[in-house]
Amino acid sequence: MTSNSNLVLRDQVIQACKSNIKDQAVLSWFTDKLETTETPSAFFLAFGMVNRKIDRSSVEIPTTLLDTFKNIDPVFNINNWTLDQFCRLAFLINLDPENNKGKIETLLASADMREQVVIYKSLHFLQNAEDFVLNAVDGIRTNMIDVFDSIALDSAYPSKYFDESAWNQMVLKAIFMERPIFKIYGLETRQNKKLATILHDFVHERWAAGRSVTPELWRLTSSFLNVQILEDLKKVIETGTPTAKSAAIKVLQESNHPKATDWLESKNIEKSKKSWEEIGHEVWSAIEN
Amino acid sequence: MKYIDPHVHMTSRTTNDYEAMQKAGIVALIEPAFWLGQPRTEVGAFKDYFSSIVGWEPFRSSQFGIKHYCTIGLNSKEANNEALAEQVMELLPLFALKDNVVAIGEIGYDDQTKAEDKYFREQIELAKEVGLPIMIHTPHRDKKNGTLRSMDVLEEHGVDPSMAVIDHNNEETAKSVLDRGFWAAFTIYPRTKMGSERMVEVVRQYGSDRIIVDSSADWGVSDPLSVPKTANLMKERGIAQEHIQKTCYQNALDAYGQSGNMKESDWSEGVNFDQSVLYGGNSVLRGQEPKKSSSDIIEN
Repeated sequence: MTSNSNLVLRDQVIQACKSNIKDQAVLSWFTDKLETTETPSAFFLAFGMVNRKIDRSSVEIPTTLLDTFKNIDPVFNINNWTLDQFCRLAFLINLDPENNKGKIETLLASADMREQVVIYKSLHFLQNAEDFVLNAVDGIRTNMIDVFDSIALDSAYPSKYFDESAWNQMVLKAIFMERPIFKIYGLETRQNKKLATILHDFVHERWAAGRSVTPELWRLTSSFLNVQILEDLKKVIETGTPTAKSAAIKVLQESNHPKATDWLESKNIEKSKKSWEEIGHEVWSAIEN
Repeated sequence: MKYIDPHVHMTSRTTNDYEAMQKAGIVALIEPAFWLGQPRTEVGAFKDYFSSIVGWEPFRSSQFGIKHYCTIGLNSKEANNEALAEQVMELLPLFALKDNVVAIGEIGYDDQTKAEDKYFREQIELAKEVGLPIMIHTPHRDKKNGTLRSMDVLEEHGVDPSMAVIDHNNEETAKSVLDRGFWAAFTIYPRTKMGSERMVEVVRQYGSDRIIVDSSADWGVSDPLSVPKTANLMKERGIAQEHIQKTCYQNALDAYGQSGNMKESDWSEGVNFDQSVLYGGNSVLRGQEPKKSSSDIIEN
């Protein structure tokens, strides 16, 4: 992204915050603090006070701003933001990118859960988003679900900036933490042999323990299908739950592996027409119930 | 019956305790910042501790359906290391405004030294500045004088008594605390503080206005079920339901609710994670009900 579009974003976000804040006293507090957050302590105090001043209502933004967001992150969704979070985003992107790193790192080190969530969600929209890769990689080591989700789910940041080992660590941890992995952006484009192999080992470890695995994980093996994975997927198709079966058939289809195609034809197996999103929803609604 | 334990140090407790507390009816708790059984030697240890009680511990608690709040402060024991105390004081404004912080505390006196007095007063001013209630720790030794002196200092700084909870009271201190308009908390902690039978008699004598029961359960031999157990004993010994409800639930909510950060709606609909994501929470709670085929079977 060019820095120019980030400047446009900054101005549009601030404007949107202002038009969403209904209370005049709060609005003047917000406007005033945006102009006077030059010293670190003034910034920390203002960022902290958002919690007291601004409520957790939903945010309405114009389509021009939505487009600006989507230019940076195609899976940006305004419904994932409440007004207090959105105003904190404004404070963060309002910092001078020349010296925002120290302030944001100090903030992270003393952040409560809600603040951590909003800081990680905001990283992608900073002019120097790439400078925070190590912070995000460190962030996914958390066991707090909300914090993990704020980095891993519904964001294009990891797929864009994480190197292979960080990416793999994040996906594996999402599976371990039973997160809805269909909400991770870039699963197909970031497929890699190492991840496919680790996942395949993981499946065997779970099966040996008499445990099941989420059917979603198979989609991460489709580009690296080998004979062993093929045999396991056959087993899933023959003995798995209906959702697991659809997932396994879909992987065989997507693999374009001749042995997979032949086997599907020989067994006369009907094509899986479900999207990964639909399969993901099935998996998670089964867990919720 | 729902209970609040407004003083319990959960960082020192296990998930068995959380599970038992939830089963006993505790819906919310307050974890005051205190010392950890031995003095810290680095300011970073304070930072990580504060960070944990505004982040990780609320998450841990939420997995058991209990809403977690905390207080932030430099405790009196560690205030005596002045070089360190100065650095900790600089940290406090960073944490005092967090989402789950309902008071500055626990602060006050331990040995009643000059350093303790200095940081006690500075933190009273901080509480006034950020509009938070104050939780007062009263000393084990020379308790009566320490308690009176704490109240003198609060009054000297112009603190409205309704904004301060004086904790760890006993039969000797209760009357003066209540007479001066402060909230009086009683800690049901075996051997060193109050037993639950004595607590029943305190409520019989003073009623329930501004009286709060807590456990102060921590890393010592203590009981995180002190509040529900005391409530049960009160009931058994004929104390009116209204007094039980006030001392074991409502008064704590009224006192710390003045922070603006503690509301009944935080737990009345169930305690969820921030984004109402239930998957992981469910998976943890599913683990709470192991199949009862044999007590030696640990669920796979």
